[in-house]
Amino acid sequence: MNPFYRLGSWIVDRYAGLRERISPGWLEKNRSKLVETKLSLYVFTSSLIGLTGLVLVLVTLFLALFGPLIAWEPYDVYPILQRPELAGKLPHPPCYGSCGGLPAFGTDHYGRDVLSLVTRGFRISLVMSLIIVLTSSVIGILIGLISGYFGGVVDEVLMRFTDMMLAFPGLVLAIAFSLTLRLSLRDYLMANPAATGVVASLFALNPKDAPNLANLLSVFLALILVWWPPYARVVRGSVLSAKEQGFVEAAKALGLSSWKILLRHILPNILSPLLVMVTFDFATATLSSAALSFLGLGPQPPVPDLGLIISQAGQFFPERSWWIVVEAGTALLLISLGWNLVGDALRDVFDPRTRRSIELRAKIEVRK
Amino acid sequence: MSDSMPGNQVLAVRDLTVRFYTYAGVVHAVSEAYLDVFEGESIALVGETGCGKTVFTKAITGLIDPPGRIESGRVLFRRRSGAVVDLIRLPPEEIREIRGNEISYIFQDPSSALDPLYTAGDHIVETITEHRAVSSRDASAEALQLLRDVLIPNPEVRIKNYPHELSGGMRQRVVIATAIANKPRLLIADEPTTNLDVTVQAQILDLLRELKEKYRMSLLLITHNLGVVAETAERVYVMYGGRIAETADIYTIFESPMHPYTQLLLRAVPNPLKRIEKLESIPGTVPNLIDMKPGCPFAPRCPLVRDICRSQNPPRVDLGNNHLVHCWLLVKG
Repeated sequence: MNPFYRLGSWIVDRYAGLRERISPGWLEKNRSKLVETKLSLYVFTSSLIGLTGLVLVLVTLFLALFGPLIAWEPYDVYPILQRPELAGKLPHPPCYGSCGGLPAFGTDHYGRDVLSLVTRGFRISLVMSLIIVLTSSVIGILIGLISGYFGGVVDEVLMRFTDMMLAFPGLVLAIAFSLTLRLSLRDYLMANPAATGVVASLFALNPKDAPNLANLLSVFLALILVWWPPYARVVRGSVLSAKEQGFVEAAKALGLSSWKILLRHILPNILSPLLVMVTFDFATATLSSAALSFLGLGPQPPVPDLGLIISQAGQFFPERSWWIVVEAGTALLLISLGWNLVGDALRDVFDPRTRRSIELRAKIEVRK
Repeated sequence: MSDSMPGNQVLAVRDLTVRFYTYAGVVHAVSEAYLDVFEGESIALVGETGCGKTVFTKAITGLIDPPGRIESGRVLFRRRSGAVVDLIRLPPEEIREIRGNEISYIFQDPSSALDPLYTAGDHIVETITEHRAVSSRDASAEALQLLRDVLIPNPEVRIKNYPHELSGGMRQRVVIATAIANKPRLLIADEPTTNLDVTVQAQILDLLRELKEKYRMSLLLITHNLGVVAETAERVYVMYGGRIAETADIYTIFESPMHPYTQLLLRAVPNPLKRIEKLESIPGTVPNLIDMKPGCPFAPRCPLVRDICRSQNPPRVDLGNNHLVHCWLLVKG
């Protein structure tokens, strides 16, 4: 047994012990559930890919949460304005010992420490991808459930609309949306300081930077708008097969309401492919939002967005800016690699065939 | 018929017609079917696979999904309160209150009738709390009692088991417990023993009979197994090609069947006491119900067919004592 499984199993046992102490009999009642949870843990932790991905994801999540606190330099102060003698030396490459007061991992063309910027950049990337994927998957799931379950005219209307959205290339549509949304979002944020404050704290940016926040938000909304159609499609397909199952018919015959059938019986049964899809999409969404910023549609300087940092290095590439691209690019790589590996491992966990073959090897027990 | 029924009648179905509008054509799944169920009675609905038994019973509580449509007919049902309602004209919300509460179903396949993600107890509790204002604690206590009633060994443990941890017979017992959770007035069992092995079949049938007495339900049993019919039912409806072919009490059906189809069906039952060379069967196949023309559906297979059988629907002939036969052979003259 590997140490990760033992750790996870210990946590599960502790949790079970706690619940058992609060309400005696809980353990006996939920034994099957606990064994399944432990089996999932075992399958996940016995794959090296999954563990690597998990570590990467945890690291990036940690940086996303605490990066803005760790970052040792403010992002919106340009050293070049305070030290005019730097002109002509920037961007400054990484240096060892002979830095002349400049950061060791190189600067961008404003003289800011690239590593500090990248540390802040995790927050923006992660928040972007999480909210884009979660919001659009909720929209997609709702549309897919309704369309697949009720069928008929409802299905026809919703799916033709989804087809319409799918027919456009996603990124191009997102560009169009972000350009049109930007102005009204800016006006809205200018008029509502409270909303601006919320958005700013979400991205760990300065609330005074309202125009840039509007740009970030526009990328964000634009991606949500183009992100849900595949979810609606996948969910509808799964619902179509799930609703033919006996227990759905039985639930109907027992007089359960359509919403209860959908949320209690159909959705949980189609959740595992969705979960895998969501995990992979975190990576894709990170890359897409970085791509939009790279194209200049996202925030403008001084926002420490990874795509923007890379795009600004472009004018000096490669001799005078390779370190910027490497540092920001590595950050993006870590994020997307982590989610991809986790998604891969989750697919194994949810695939009954691989799962059962591993189950035969494992002896799962729930201790009292 | 008016909207009134004798006081001890639970269900009266009249002229129920269900059609499916598919790309291949209109499927006449059920045509002018009728059914009477009295309080505390066991009724059997017999017929070959594909003769419309299941569709007929599903249509009673409107469980027909598009492209199927209930074309006409009336389903009068006496509720617990004593009020008589026409289930076909009831708004969906009200009919939902009746399903699982006053009319319950047990479906054929116990392995798929339970959601793999919920325990046996969850299924029962869900049904109880859907129809009655009961706390989930009380509902679990009731669920335990129900599992005891359906004779599941060690119910305290089984209530927390997931479907994959239960055997086929045990699953069917859980399904039955779920169906009777709200003490329905009418229990419709759609081939409840088809997927179970023979010894378990007998147990389940005994159980259904006992529960019927205990909860004072009426039982509508759908089956193609005449042994089950003889074992359980008091009255029998024989269905063929979406139509009722013959109905009578159990003794009349077995002693003096009048419809040629019923006669052939009974002859096809192997008798374990007789050494037989070859199992009897009815020549021909079940009719294709797509775009049916008027005429007796059994005419192509009937050994006694006449010309009129092929062109006109057979009339209903009343032989007295509730023995109704739909056949031209019994029309005098």
